[in-house]
Amino acid sequence: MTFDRGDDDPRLTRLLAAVRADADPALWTRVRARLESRRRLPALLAWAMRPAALAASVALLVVAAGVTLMLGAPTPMLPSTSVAASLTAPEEEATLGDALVAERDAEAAPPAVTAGPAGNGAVRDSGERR
Amino acid sequence: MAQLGAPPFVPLLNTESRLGFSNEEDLIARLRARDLDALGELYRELGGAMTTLARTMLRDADEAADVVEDALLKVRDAATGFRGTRGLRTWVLRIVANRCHDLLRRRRFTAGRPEDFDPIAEAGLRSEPLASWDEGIDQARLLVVLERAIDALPPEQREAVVLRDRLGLSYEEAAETLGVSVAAIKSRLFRARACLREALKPWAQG
Repeated sequence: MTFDRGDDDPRLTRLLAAVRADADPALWTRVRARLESRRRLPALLAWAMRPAALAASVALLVVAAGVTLMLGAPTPMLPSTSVAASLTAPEEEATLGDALVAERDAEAAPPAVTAGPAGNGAVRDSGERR
Repeated sequence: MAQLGAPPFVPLLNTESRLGFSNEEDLIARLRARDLDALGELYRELGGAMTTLARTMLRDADEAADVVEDALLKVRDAATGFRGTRGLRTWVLRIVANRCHDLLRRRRFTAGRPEDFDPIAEAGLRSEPLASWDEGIDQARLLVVLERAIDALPPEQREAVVLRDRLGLSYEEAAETLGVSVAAIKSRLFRARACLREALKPWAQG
C-alpha cells in the first residue's frame, strides 16, 4: 500500500476520529462567572487591575517614596546672623541644647558701643529718654 | 490489521455548513457586541473540538481546561477586531493551538510516562466504539497504542493529525488554523501518518 503526500487513510482516520472529548459544561460556568464578575467592576477599577497598570503603580510608588526621602533628608541648618558669631566653634554646634544656650548668651551680651565720629556736641542716639 | 469495513466517518466538526451555526455572521456580530450568550453558543458548538485539540496536544486535562478557558476569554476580548475573513472556527482553534504551543514550549523537562500510562484516560479523552469492528482485535488496546504514537509525534505533526483526521477540518482550514501552507500541512500529515502506521504494524500483520 502506498500513500502519496496528502492522501487520506480512511482506516487510520476512522481510528483517530474514534477518540475525542466533550465540552465541559462546568468550564463554561466558570468562564461565564469570570466574565460577569469582570463586567460588574467599574471600568477604571478593571483597568487599574491589569498587570501593566499594577506594575506602573508600583513603579510610581517607588519613585514617589524615593523623592519623598530625598526631599525630607536633614539639610544643614543655616544659623541666623546674630547667632552666627557664637556658633563658630564646632563643639558649640554639637547639640541643639548647646546651640540654644549659645543663642541666649549672644542675646544677653551688651551691645558693643562704638564712639561715633561726631562726638562733640552731637546728640547721642542712645535710645534712652532724657 | 483486520478489515474494518467502510468507514462511516463522522467528523467532530460539521464541515458541510461552516460551524453548523444557523448564521455565522450573526454570531460574529453578537460576539463583537460582547454578547455573553453568543460566546456560550460558540462554546456549545466548538467546545468539543477545542477540548479535543487541547487534551490531545497536552495530555493533561487540567492544563487543557485552562487553555480552553483562556481561549474563550481571548475570543471575548479580541472579537471586536475579528474581521471574519478566516472563519470563526479556524480563528478559535488557532487560538487554542497557539496556547498549547506556548505551554509545550515551557515544558522543557517532562517526566517519562510510566509503562501502564493510558494516554486516553489520562488526557480526559474518551473512545467511541467503532462499527463493524473485528472482535478479534482489542479495540481499546489498539487505540491506546495509537494515542501513544500520537504522543510521540512532534507537536507540529500532532496538531496536523488532530485537526485533519480527528476533528475533520479540510486541508485548507487546517493550514489556516496553523498559519502554514496547504503543502506544509500535507507534508506534516504524510510524515505523521507514516509514524502512526508503523506503530500499528503489529496489528496489521496479525
